[in-house]
Amino acid sequence: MKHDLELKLQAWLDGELPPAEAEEIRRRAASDPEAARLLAELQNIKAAFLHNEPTVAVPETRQFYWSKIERQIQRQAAARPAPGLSWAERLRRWLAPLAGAAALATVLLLALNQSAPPVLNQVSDMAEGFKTRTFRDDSAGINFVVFHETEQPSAARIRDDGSSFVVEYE
Amino acid sequence: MPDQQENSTDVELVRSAQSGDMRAFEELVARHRDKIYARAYSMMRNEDEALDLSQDAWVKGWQRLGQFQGDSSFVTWMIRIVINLCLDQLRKLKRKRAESLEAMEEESGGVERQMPVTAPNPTEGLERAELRLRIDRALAQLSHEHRTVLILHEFEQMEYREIARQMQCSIGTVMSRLFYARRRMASLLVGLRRENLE
Repeated sequence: MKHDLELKLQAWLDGELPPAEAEEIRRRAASDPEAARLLAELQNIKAAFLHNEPTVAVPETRQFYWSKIERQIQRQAAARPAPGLSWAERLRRWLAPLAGAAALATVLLLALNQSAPPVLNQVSDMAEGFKTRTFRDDSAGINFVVFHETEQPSAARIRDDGSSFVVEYE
Repeated sequence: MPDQQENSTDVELVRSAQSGDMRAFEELVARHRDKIYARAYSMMRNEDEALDLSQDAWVKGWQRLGQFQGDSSFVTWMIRIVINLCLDQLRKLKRKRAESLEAMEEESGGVERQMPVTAPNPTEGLERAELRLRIDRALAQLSHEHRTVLILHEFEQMEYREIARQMQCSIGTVMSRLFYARRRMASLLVGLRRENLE
């Protein structure tokens, strides 16, 4: 017998065949002894299962069985965020650590800027006949003019040490 | 355990559990734990795995109580949860399992394809307890795939389409597996009957 016919016989038995095909298979089962025998075997097994599911009981006491379930529920509840939080509250909780990190980074940057004194570079050499040098602080938009009593090396810069300006020569 | 909960219906207990009453949920577990464990055991055939999976099913049931609308009975809903967990576990086991002759023959039916049709009925005249025992012993000898498809079809009354969805395979595969599972069961039950007569 072809496998396709075997599966159709079974589908007919299980009520899974469309009506048009069901009638064809019913006629086949009635006229083909081999098909009828196979159908009878499948029917016997189907009938044997009906209301005869093997029974088995939990091999643990009620309390012991429940205690593991209860522990798991409590453990998972502790690991989850409290229910009922609005999306805004969840977003706030998620962003809070980021905002803290950003604030810390800003403070560190400011501290670094304060600890590194600005250095003002010279923008013009001593002019012929004048014992002066000019320096510019671009961030403050200020020019500094330094008057010298004597000739000095050409390369120099001004450093702000916090309380006064120091002229450095190379 | 308060008497009040013991006298409550499943519907009342589910409603209390949905409001966060864990004692009500404990009562539901006590009432239906055998059924949930039995389904896990019938699919896994291993006591420890069945215990773990049935308990996991109860934990999932508690977490998803809000989704239970009462379209089916509570115990039917719980059985679906444990079946899904067992199927997941069986898929994991199958991935680990090396390709065996049994696995290769599973779809083609192996020896069942050539087996003569059994006659007379191997279950005829058996007492219910004896029949259940033999069905249990025969089920234990089937492959996971054949046993699962039989359980879902015969005990859970699932249609081919639903079994295919649960087992993540085609309807054709479900039909083939069911056919060979039934033929193998017939052969095993004949064998058990002969053993009993000898």
